[in-house]
Amino acid sequence: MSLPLEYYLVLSALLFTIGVIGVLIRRNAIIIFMCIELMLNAANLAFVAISRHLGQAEGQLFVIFVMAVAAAEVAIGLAIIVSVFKHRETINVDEINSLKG
Amino acid sequence: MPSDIIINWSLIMPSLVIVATMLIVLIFDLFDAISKKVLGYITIAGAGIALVESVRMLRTESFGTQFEGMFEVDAYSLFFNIIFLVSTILVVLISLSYLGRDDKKQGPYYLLILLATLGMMLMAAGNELIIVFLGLELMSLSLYVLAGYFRDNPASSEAGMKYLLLGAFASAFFLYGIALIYGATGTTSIPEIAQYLTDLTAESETALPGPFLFAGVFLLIVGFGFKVAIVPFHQWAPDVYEGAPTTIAAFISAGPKAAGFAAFVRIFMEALPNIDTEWNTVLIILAILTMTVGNVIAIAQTNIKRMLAYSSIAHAGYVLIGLAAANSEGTSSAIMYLFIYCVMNIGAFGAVILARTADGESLMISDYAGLGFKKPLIGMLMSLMLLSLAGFPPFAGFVGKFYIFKSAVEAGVEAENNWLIWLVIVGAINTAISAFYYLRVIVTMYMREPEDELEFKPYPSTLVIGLVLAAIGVILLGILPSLIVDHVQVIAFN
Repeated sequence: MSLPLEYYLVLSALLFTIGVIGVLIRRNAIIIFMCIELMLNAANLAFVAISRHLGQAEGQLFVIFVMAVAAAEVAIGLAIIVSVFKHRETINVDEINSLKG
Repeated sequence: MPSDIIINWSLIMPSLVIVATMLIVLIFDLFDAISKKVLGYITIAGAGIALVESVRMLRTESFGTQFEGMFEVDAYSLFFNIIFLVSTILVVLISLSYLGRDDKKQGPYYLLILLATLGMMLMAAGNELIIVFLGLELMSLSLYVLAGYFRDNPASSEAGMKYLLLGAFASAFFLYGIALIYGATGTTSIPEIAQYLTDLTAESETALPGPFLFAGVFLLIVGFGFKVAIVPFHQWAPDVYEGAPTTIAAFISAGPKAAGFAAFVRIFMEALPNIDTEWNTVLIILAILTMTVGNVIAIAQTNIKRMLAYSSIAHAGYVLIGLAAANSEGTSSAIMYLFIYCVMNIGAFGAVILARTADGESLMISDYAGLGFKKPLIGMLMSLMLLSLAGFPPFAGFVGKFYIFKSAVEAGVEAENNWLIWLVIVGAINTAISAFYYLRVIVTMYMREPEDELEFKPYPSTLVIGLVLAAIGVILLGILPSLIVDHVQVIAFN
């Protein structure tokens, strides 16, 4: 007794889209970063659902790699955002715009 | 069955040497008694050994796969190793004097450069989409930190953040693309995807791989597009190049771009050759956009790092011409172009570092007025690199462009594809446009009087060595292209 694969894929596509829209419209660097994490987790959900559907272990394995990568990305990302905050006292990406030509 | 897995250590030797060098740098960084300058030389030595080993493996044709076929050692990945390692060595040479006397800064810097290099090598050798993804992330995460490496400089931090947000965004697209391809084909191994698609077309002529595969391929193109900065995914590049330390701008513009193309070509040529015609048109459009936008915007730049950023975007467009030709000559000329481009672009950034003033860096093109006669070495090296980037004979840039255009024309005539011929014409026009802004810098150096006297730093010897090596490479490959052409032609997949 399980839900069909389509349900999971639609949910994952929805999560991914929410993530993309969030990155494009939110201006707070940390929230943008959270939206990117949401996109990665949408991909994870798709991996797990497909791997279960196919009866393979591979997809589930990849999710563990992706989670490790995402954790590393968060560590580095937050460090860089903190270092930007030290200079500007803001993490609004619209105000961080000294580089342009 | 762990007992069945036999690791052929000699096959993965170049990567192992890099890992070992990384550990040595990490350990040596702990001892205060050792001068931190040594770390840079250790990095060069390690990359040099890996380079020699890659060349030896390429010559003796010691190829094979490793780790259940996930790690492919073939002429293709070995040649890309050579590109990455040459770039790494040149970048470390120009970095040695750039980092200054701050000991705390040296260790992590070289460590991250080595990590990024390892990531690139994984990308080129990855025969499995997940390995490619891990290599890509290993490279990107190291580069985010390196771009923001000068923490006390607001511009550097800002460059790091922009690169991080857009790079991570692109990685997410890339990963979702892999997930969709996995859903469509049931595997992430590149040969198995190719096998699946061959079986599918063998079953019936009209069978289509389905929307999932196309959506996945589209997302992969978006992800790669960001990483190698092709228009319309290029916006991060100028900001990051301007804000990042100049050595890192040189590094980002060279190796990672080559690595992005390495994985791109392997996935598209090997796994997805059957959907050739559809994405070929996409590539042609991307190539035209990338070249034109890059070159036209470069004209308007007053900051030399931004100008080089747009020029490197345009060069990605030239590489795309080779890929759009979609035959083995096109691929091999694109690979050769990447090699030449890496050497001359690092050279150009190195020349920018050479023209450092006492109070920092002189980055405005107007600062270069009169430099040609006042500082002949800067003038000569900068002119040489820019002429090569513009594609003037007898420098290497000309050879690279020549082979790319030639392969695309031949492919266009053969396939009776007028698009390809037009693509080459657009490429040639773009080369002319690019000559304008490259020559403008040279004209400024030799024919303008300096407005105010700038105090320049003395030349650091390691930087000069790095630049002279790059210059020798550019001239040698320009005069004797057979040094590289003969080797590259055997590499491409058939």
